[in-house]
Amino acid sequence: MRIAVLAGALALAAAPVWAQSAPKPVDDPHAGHVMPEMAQTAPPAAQAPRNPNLPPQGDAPGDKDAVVKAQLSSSPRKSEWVNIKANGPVPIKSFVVYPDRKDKAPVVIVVMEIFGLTDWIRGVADQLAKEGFIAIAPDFLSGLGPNGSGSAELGEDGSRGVIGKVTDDDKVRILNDVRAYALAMPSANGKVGIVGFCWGGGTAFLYARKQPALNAAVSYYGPMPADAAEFANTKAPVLGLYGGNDNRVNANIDAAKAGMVKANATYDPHVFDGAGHGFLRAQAGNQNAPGNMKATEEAWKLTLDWLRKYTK
Amino acid sequence: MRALTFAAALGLVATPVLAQSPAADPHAGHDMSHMQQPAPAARPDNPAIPPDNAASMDRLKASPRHGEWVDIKMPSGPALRSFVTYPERKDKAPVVLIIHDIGGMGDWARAVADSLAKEGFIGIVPDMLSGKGPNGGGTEELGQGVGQAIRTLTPDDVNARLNAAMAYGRSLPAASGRTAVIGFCWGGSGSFAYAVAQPELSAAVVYYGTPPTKTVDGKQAVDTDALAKIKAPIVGFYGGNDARVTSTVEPTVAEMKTLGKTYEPHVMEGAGHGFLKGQSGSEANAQAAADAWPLTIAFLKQHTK
Repeated sequence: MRIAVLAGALALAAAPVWAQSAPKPVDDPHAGHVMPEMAQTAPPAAQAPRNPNLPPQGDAPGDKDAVVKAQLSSSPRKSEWVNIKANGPVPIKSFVVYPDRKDKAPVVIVVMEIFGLTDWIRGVADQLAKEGFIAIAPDFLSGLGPNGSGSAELGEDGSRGVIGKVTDDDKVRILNDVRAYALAMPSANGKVGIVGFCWGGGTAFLYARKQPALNAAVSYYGPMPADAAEFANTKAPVLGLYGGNDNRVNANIDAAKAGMVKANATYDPHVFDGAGHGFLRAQAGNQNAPGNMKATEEAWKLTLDWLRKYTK
Repeated sequence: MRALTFAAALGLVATPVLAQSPAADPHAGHDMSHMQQPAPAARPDNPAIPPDNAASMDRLKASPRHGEWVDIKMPSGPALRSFVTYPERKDKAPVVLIIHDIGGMGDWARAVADSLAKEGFIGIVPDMLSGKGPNGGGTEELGQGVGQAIRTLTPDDVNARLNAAMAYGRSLPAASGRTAVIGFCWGGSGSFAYAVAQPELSAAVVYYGTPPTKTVDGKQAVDTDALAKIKAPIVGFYGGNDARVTSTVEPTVAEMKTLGKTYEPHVMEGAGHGFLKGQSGSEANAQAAADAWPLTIAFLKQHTK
């Protein structure tokens, strides 16, 4: 615990540096162009120095990924791209980040949004490694890009265009391959959790329903089936984190609750008032989602507590 | 109208200033393709209304809202490839079907759906050419063949596709059950025709599209029998400089009045055909877009409550 406190203090001391490296609005070549909607109505919190104990925001003014890129380029942690051997047609290109620790670590699989394996997802993986987890972010679109490529080549909108081709069976197969890779890592402790966002939030919950040996799942605003029978085989405890203004997803929370109770499985849903879909990425929020930053702060703490508790 | 004229004059005066000082142009390094035509000063993107065509992809990328592609099943034939956008709200939302223009499914129509989601609607844009392209594809696979293919769609085809999209929208747990339609150009005519075909529609918005017509004594005339079937209130937006379409407004007003139907046409002075997508085409187009969109939203909100 002393170490953790020290890290927190260091991080706080570093905060002004982060603030200085953020893009200055006056230099922004995008001035006058399409800006994230927060630009008009940014709550004061959006202007505060970045909190290094939260994942980076993916809705920075100007270049939306400016904060993400700064984190990735300055991360002291070891990261690498690996091709994970697959039972499917192509290897699964994955981004792996290792924590700086001397003992064995739990592995957390980070599941991308509908936009593919983006810099923001890599930023979240780096943040989890900062908290002591080995983070693996697989590209579920491996092989679906032009000439056998994946998310990077498809781009965010292109990834959204093809992601519907990935079936539930594909998702589970890919995750089983990644999990096998995680269990074989010499520095891993044998416990595997999963956290996913949007499309990946639905995928994380799906994997909890399909893989009884999974240790923990965190679903950020992931869609859920309405049929209680779909939850029957769930063993892993699932933490659900939802924006209050995201009725598309939230409409099925009660069905999921009923299904999980029937399965005698743990499900802990939290709905954050005033937050929209995708709040952990769009932390600055907008007029329809003013609560994104507050939701981010609360949800991330719950996430770390959940993963630590169940992957010890 | 004096204000409109004044604004247009300012726009013309401002053009040479911008042209002479490219260094000060805040748009430097961005997509300028829409500015290469001799147009008045480009306005900065106005996030309160749908984007100019050239800004569509930037707008989609900057959107905080959830948008996804779905393949909507139809009773027969191919799946309807559709882009669906969701509002950030906690309660159930009305659905707006968006009918693209004669160019087929595109980023601009998707950005319109996103603009509607920003205002609290679930937006559904079906690719009306789904299954008409090579290998069962749609607009994207047709490429240059879109213009040919879109002519092969009969009014019944279009209505059947819209019915499938409407049924999908109603099935969403987050949907309130109210459905409206909005269409542009070719899709504007489709929107008017759908109001004729679908009695359960709550509202129809027609952007520079024609009403249903029939041939009388060798001349095109408004189809009164078709209009008589309309249940939904209709609002229309037309370019003042688009006589091909706008000349239909007056006879439509007369017929709809006789039939006791709600029809609110707005003719935007000085604007051309397609002014919402072509906001950068002229100052009048930009003004028309800025004026028409709030009226569109107010109309949709009023009738889908």
